Amino acid sequence: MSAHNRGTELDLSWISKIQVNHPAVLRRAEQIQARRTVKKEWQAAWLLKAVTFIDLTTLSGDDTSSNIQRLCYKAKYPIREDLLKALNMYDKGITTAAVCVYPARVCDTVKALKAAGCNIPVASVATGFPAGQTHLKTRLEEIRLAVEDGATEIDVVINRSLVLTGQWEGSDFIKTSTGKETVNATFPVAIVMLRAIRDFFWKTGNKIGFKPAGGIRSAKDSLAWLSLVKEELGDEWLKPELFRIGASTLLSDIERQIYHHVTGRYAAYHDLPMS
Amino acid sequence: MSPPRGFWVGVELPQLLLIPFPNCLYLPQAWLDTQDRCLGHYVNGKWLKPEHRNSVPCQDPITGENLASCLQAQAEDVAAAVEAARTAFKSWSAHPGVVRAQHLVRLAKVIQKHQRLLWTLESLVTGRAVREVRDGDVQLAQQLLHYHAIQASTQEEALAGWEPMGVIGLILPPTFSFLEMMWRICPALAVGCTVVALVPPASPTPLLLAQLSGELGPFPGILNVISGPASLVPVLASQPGIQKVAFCGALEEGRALRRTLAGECAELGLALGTESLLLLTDTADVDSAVEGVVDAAWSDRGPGGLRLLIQESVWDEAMRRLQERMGRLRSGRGLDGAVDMGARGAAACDLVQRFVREAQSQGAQVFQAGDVPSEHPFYPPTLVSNLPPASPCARAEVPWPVVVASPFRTAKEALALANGTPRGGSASVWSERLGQALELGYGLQVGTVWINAHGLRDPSVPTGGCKESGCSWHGGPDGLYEYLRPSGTPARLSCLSKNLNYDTFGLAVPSTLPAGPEIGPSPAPPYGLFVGGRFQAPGARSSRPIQDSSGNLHGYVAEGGAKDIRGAVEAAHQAFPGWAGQSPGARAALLWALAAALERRKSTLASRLERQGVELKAAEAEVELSARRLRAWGARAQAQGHTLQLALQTGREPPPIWRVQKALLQKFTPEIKDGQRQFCATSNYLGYFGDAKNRYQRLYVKFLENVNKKDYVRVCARKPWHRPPVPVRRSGQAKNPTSAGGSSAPPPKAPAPPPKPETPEKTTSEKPPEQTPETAMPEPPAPEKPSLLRPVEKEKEKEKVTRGERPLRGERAASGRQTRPERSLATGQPATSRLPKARPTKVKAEPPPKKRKKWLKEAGGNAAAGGGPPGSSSDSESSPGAPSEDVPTRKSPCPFCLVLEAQYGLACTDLSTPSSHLLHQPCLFMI
Repeated sequence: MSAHNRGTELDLSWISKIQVNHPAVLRRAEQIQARRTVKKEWQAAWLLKAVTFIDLTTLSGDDTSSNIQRLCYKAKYPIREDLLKALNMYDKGITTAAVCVYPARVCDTVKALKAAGCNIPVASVATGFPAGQTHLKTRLEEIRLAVEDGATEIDVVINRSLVLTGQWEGSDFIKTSTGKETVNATFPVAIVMLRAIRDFFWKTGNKIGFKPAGGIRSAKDSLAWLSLVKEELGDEWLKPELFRIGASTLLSDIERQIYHHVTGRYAAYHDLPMS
Repeated sequence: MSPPRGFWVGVELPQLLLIPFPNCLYLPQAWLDTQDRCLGHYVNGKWLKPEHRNSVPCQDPITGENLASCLQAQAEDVAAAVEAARTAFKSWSAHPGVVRAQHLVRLAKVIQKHQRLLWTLESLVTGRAVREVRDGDVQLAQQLLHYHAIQASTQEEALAGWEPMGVIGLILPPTFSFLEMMWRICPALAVGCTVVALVPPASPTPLLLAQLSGELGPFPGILNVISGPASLVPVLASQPGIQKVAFCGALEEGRALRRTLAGECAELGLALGTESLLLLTDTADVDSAVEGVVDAAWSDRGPGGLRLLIQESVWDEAMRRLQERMGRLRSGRGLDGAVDMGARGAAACDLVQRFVREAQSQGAQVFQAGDVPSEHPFYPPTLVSNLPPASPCARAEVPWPVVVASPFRTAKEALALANGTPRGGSASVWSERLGQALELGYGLQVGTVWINAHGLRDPSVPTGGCKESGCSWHGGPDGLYEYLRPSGTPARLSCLSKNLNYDTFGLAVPSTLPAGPEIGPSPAPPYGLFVGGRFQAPGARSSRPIQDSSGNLHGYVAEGGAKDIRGAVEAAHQAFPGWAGQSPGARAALLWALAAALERRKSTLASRLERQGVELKAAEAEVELSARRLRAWGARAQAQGHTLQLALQTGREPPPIWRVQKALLQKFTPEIKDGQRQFCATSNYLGYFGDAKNRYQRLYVKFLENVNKKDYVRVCARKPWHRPPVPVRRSGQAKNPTSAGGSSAPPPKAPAPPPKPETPEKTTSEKPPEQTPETAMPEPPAPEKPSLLRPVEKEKEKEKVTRGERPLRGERAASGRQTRPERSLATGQPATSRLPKARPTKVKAEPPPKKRKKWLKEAGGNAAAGGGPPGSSSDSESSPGAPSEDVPTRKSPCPFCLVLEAQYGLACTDLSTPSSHLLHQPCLFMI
């Protein structure tokens, strides 16, 4: 996690001056997916880079310690060993950026990660995820408990009723959505958010992180997200401290693409370890 | 296995390197191999490779590698091509439009089948980014063919009374030759003309296109392409049978061609220059505008450079964002899929180097950035600022890929700066305020204006230029008329007088002596030159004898000179604004009156013609035809005022133009008929682009523009814009949110008294005529913000709108007439606060249809949280769902409608998606 957002005086004139032209942003979102196509070795490098941004997530009602354990192992070894060896990347320490679970599973996760012998951060969703419509007291308590259990990052669902009435909250990272909505991370919304991050950085010097979450399933999507961040914010944002992708099934598709890059064939799903 | 390249995990050096694999080179090279790397001309469905011709190498603009050699045509090759086109014209134009339409559709399909070859070849040869060719040019080419196929299939009905001109000579520039060719051949072929295109040597894509067309079968000769030097241009233009020459290229060449063709039989259409303009106002979404600059100058979409005008108050911010964005641009080989910009060969590079050097020596600041290879033909994106306005570089055409930025203070100054150039190609205006954007759009003297977009093209919207940028239109209905002439018009003949010295023409006084008695008509017609509405004596005070067909002296006419011509041109210039400002109806009336006058004098005119050797019957027919033409064009002028032509921008597919147009016209024709002041006299086209969802809101645009011009207000208060009857609900009545939207009770017999509290003189539909457009112009509604930001902006918005003044109106506002504090209603909030005043009873938002819910909630929330005037408290009490007592309830319209309501006492009909901002609306219309 980067240095915390030190915050700033709330100056609503910044917000009132913002103009967003919707069709222009839509056009930009369309362009961004077509202007940076990478192929072959370059694509492999980008995909590996994308792996290091993934918050490997499981947010199911039926999560138990066994599937958490499997997830943690996958976080530690996201790409099959022989594939990495073929790419000569085995010793580069490629892991996912974090493991993201419900607060009740933080304990299991910390344990499983310790057993796997790695220090991947544990992120926990909290504060009445995904709606955030619980009492402030329980929400704060939820965060405290999650941190006690060993979570180092908390994905807070802000109180949207406050936001909608203009009472803002600060953060180190902003997410497109919980991933549980019908429409989640989309490029036009992300463009607006990234531009806001850049403006905030220009005004205050604070770098705010960005995390698209939900609906990012294919390796190609992940590349588009990387190029979007690279184009709108620059390379300095392309590190796990400032950019994450919240996803659960993305990793297996990336692994398949790398399998294809290495072997020239597409993997059957049983060829790759499940997460 | 090669290791991943680009960036290593943990090492922060993400680089998108040039992709070195030459796979995409395979296709074009294989095609060139089929021609043995020697390209000839494609004439009459066959390759023509005459012997003993010079050849020019076709080179890769980046590596300089020889790809093929191109034979240079000579005059006899041109003649052969024109002959082939003339032969083909006979059968091609005789076929019904449907057959031509089928052929065009087949050509579109062939392009689809071979698009990879087309785009790799074009990118390889021109050096442009393959992405732009693939996603832009080739797709647009297919759309153009489909659009014109539709036009061809309805030609007999829609274009009755018009016939194809004949053989068209087409002269193409070296860059963008493929796309420019498509813009011209599609309408020409659709209406039944055949084409001979002269392309500069080393442009193989038009040849490939001709081959694809020729191999389609039954009509091989309709498209012939020859490649040759510029010296062949006059040869082609003066070939017998060429009825029109369409030229696209540099200004100087166009001028020379105009000189050459003066008096010749071929008509000339010019499209010159490449520069475009971008106006960035202080209300714009600056980030998006910066993307517009990238689209215009640094993305290989447009052929030329850009003049960028930035409002002073956002200058720093815009420049910072621009420079930041430039740093992320990537230049490289066109075939690399990840570049923004390619290279355009040594000549373009030298040109821009010279321009930048000169600009620097004239005091400009030059900023260059981006990831650009350092080799020769590459040139980095360049931003030039602080160029003194009077310096030669500021006057010169900006070359690719340079952007020349300069500041402006007010919108008025922006127009003065933007119009202060001889060029008038295309421009875009970036502003979130509709009124301002429209005002600027109309004020710009250019052919094409985009609002909040740049460089979008659509087959159904004509593009062209004015002033020095040319005089021809491409695409849309106007593009068709470029290649048509009224049926029965004789072919144009050369009217060049061989024994006349044009350099001294009109300067010397001719020596005319009395030649005998006149036997002309009695009484003799008025003597003199008819200039500026009256007869006046010629400057030389001299006359010229005119003989009739039998050689007798018919009479004397005034002998004009150069000064008289100057005077006549001046008079026409002076008359133009008044004539153009006339309503279409008035112009039509005058033309019809002229026709009637001709008919009254039919016998006199016919007898005069007869005396000149025309048979009586033919003479009468000629007079009749003249009167008919006048009537036809008068009707056309009127019809032009009635139609609103729209086209949707729907991405890659051909747009469903007809359906939409029809629906809109059905719905709004009465309204449009009554709009008295249309802008059809100007040939500006105004485009709105975007996705194609909300079609009604475009009509707001149309509507507002009429309101701006004030004449319209009175009319529309009675017209279908008028809202459906206000549903009255009694207490105890069950609320039904869905039925409210579909209420279709008969309209009230008089316009409902609008909510106009403090300006009683405007409460009825009878708006006082002294209400000027300045005071009448409503503040456009606030742009849509991302939902996270919305609630907070309202306070600021309120503050902003109360003190807001539009730059365009700044000076007039000072005149003190408009001092109504709440006249700017940027959001629904001020209007809701006013409603109670207008209607002492409680006014409350009606339960909305689904779509409107969200917006209503906000509007209600705004009123509640924004602490509106005391009166507005009733609003929050009677939120939807709360029981209401004896209150007429009304639907809450969109913010824009509230503005209209408050400003004009107008009510609007049921409209969908009210929360969207007008300028976000996706449309593209022309007036």
